[in-house]
Amino acid sequence: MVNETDKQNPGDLADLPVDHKILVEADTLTPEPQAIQFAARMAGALQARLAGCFVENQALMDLAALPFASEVSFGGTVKPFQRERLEREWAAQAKQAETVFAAAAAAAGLAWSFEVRRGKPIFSMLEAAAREDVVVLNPGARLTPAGDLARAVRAATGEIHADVLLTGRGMRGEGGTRRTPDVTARGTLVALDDMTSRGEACCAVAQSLAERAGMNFIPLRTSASSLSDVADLLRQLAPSLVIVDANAAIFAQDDNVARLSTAAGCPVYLLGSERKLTLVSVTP
Amino acid sequence: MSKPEPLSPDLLYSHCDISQFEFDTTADMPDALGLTGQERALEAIEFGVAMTRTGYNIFALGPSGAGKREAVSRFLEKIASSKPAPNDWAYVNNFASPNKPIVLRMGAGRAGLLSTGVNALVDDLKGAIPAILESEEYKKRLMSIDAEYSQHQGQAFETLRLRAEAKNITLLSTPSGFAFAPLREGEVMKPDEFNKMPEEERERIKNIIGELEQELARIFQHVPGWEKDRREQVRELNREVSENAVGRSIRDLAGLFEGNEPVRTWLDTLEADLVENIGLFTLDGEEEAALQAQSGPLGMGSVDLFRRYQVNVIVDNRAGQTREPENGNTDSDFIGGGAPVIIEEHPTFTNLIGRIEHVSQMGALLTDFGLIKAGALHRANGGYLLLDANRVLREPLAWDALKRALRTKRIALETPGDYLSLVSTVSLEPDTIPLDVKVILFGDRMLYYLLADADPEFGDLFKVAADFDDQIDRDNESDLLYAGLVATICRKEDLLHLTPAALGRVIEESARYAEDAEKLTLEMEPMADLIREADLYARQDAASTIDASHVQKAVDARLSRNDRLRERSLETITRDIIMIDTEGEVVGQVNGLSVLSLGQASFGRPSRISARVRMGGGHLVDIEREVDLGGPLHSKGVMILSGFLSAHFATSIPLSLSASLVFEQSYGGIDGDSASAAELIALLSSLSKLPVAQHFAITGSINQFGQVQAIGGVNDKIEGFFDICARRGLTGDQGVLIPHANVKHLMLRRDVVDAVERGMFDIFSVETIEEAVELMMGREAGYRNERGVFPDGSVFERVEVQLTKFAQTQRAFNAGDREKR
Repeated sequence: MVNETDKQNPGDLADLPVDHKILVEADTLTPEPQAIQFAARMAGALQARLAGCFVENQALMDLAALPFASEVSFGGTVKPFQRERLEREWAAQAKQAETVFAAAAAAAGLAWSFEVRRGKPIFSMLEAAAREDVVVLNPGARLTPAGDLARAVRAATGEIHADVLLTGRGMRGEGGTRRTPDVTARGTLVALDDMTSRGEACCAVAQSLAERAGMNFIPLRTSASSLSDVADLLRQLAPSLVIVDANAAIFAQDDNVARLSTAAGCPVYLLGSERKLTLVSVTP
Repeated sequence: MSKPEPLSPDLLYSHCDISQFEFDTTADMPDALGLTGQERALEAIEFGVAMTRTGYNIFALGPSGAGKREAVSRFLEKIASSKPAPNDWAYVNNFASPNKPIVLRMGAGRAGLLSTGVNALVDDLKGAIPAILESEEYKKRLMSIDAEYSQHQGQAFETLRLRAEAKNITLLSTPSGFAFAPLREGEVMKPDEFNKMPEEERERIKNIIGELEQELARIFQHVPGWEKDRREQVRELNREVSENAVGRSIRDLAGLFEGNEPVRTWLDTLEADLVENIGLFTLDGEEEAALQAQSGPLGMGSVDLFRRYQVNVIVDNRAGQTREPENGNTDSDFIGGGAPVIIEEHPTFTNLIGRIEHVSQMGALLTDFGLIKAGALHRANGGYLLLDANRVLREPLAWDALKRALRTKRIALETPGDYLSLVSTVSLEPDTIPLDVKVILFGDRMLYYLLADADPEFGDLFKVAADFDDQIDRDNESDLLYAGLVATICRKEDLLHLTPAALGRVIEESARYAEDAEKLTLEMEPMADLIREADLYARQDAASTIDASHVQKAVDARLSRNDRLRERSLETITRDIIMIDTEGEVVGQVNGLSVLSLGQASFGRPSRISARVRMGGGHLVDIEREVDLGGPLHSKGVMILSGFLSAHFATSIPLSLSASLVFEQSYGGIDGDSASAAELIALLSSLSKLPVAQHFAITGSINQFGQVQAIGGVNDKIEGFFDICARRGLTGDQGVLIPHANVKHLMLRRDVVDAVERGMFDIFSVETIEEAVELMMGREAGYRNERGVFPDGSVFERVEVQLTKFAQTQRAFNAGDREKR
């Protein structure tokens, strides 16, 4: 029997963290099982723990306390907004999210945890994030202003030194072009190399992940700083996963994070600024 | 009148003249069609086949084992081969209403073309569609649609959000929608802060939020419409990009079905469905499995979501002489070869009209158009369907279903439950199929007459009766025809062929089976059995042909196998357990003859018939009838005796007789009037007090004029009495009296004929009771002279005297009785 460590690349082991996790946002909006499953696969590929974080938006609690509080349902009906009902719905959604987490983790054979926080969405979750974690965000799952998303990404990658995986929007095409991302299945992993040292490091991580997951690896070397140019190139490659440095020039504008996620048509992995090669090669 | 002479031996057995056979074995004979000697039936079948009007189906009636079905099917195959092949039929998916599958009619051999064409089309699209949908152009256009939609929706939300923010209001997501909240320093205002605000300010914020909510509600109400528009645009895009690929292939296929509008219409709907569902061609494994689980039988078995596009060919007349379509050849004029002649051996309800099969999936029984299976009516449509009437009637619902199909001239596929309205679950309602079939039912005569009598629809649906005779006249020509039939049997079953002598024995046995020396049976199955058994003995002898000795051995062996009952019967008589005298004379006692038929065994057995008379009221008491052992025909025979007596004797005075007649030691039922001659002799003997010779037995029925009439089973009856006599030792006096009309039926066993030739046994034919009386009572029966009286000393004179005495005594008895009163 082959010990998994026998096949490890000694160079890859240098900075392997003792306990890093894939931190998945499961907020007040319906958690997308597909996103959670994808996060579980990523956790398997990165040998990380799967951690779910359900954030109860404090602003809604404040709103519910106002005398005239009301909400507009998805069907367009205006109805009173009540605290008791809000708490019941949160509890139900959190329970549902936890169930999906448990199933996804069990299927991937992962350790997992799940917690409920109350505070500001995304940012409350980031409080649970640590260096070398991967924070999974779903840009399409909330009315998150592009600025907020960009700030959250900057906080995660720049301040916490974690990576960010953007799922959701663009994961499912329309019409007849559904494409399910699967890092454990054969697909194409594209890494954006902006000809900088960080771009080069990004490619190295991507290559290691591709080998580990048995994916085809394509380094996309481009000096283009226009998001639309990059998006065009990505569409031609039809990748299953895109890895890009979080500090790349194309993210100079706040809303480009969300736009790239849409343009790629697949999950986008934003590499944290100080992330090292931490991948482990094992038998697929 | 002179005493009748016994029949000469040559009248007892009609040998086959084998000198007429100019062949060495039957191998030299050509095959004979089974309709030999069945000209009437053949004419009826020809008429029924030629008549195309409704209801002219055929019922071929006749004895079983006569080879009716084989003969008719061979005859029909000749006719059918010259006719054009009928249409092919196929069921296809009804994309609009999947529970109502569409039936398509195509020229012979064309359904297969459609099926393979559609399969090839789908296979092509499996490669072409993903390539189209992965193309850069498609992706760009799709993104453009998505962007437009997102922009439309996003813009509305964003505008509203900006308007709200301008008024220091924020838009928040809630678990079930959205809500507006007032802001203070970029955060949602706390309740305390809000409550500290002046009333006017609180009211103002409340009104602003109310307006924003109304605006948001309006946006939400528009979302479904935007989404619908987007889907329609995507659909239109798909249609546009896939139409080329789908349309081109379908046009090629549709070209093969020029003039067949239903097929072309279905191909149009197929094209539309393919365009609508091009997503099916790009599914990955998980999606396919998920869709398959939802799609019931359409996804049954291996992953095949394209089953909805398959063509379920239920009738394919391509087999045999079908030629491939030629250039310019269209669907409507394509002709294959031969109308079908279908024989359904197991005519159950579903085997006749077809069935809708189901598959079990997650505990539910599901079905679709691909699970429709053809029945015999489908396969025979445009041709001929041969059925055994008895089997059809035995199968539940089959007869009604067959009649309904013939009456409505359509095949409606239903489950038995639906047919009986027992279930109300949603099932398939396939299109019905027009029916043009000639049904030929086979059955015996009794069944035909029963149906004609009991089923009012039968006469309307089966107007042609092909009545198969069970016998043909025996002459040299028919002997040769018979040789052909035998040769056919030998070839068909790979039996050794027969020498002329063996064939002669078979023909003689055929006459014996027909119980008529001048006829041959057309029930070929018993004759085929005889040849098969003779074949066994011939092979055991390592012979290359079947000889007469092998046939004889087969006849003897068959008798021996069935001989136990006959032997027991003989034994009970020879051991005097059943009392039958074969010597001496007894008053009022006659040896009658009967036939016992049990399974394959059939043999004659003598019965003692006795009569006792006394003065009475003119009644003959049939003891068998009194105890319900006599059948109606027997009772009729006894009553005829009463008529004969009252009309023949002492006609001017009342018949003052009381007589009883009985079959001694008979413990089973008796029917038929073949013993009435014996009963009359017993009565006359009892009345005349003259004895009857016990070395004779007699069989024959009597009419009121004293004429002796023909009976059945004459050979068995004679042989039955002969066997008893032979066991006890032939005296040379013994013999049997038979009706003259039965002489032509004599085909007696070799040992009986031998005994007659040696003068040890006699067979007399009689035409009147007088002849029988003279033979059996040894004295003149008597005819009235010109004065109307019987000769002195004659049997009839003594009978009349006795009857007159009874009448006088009766009168005196009645007078004394009156005086006493």
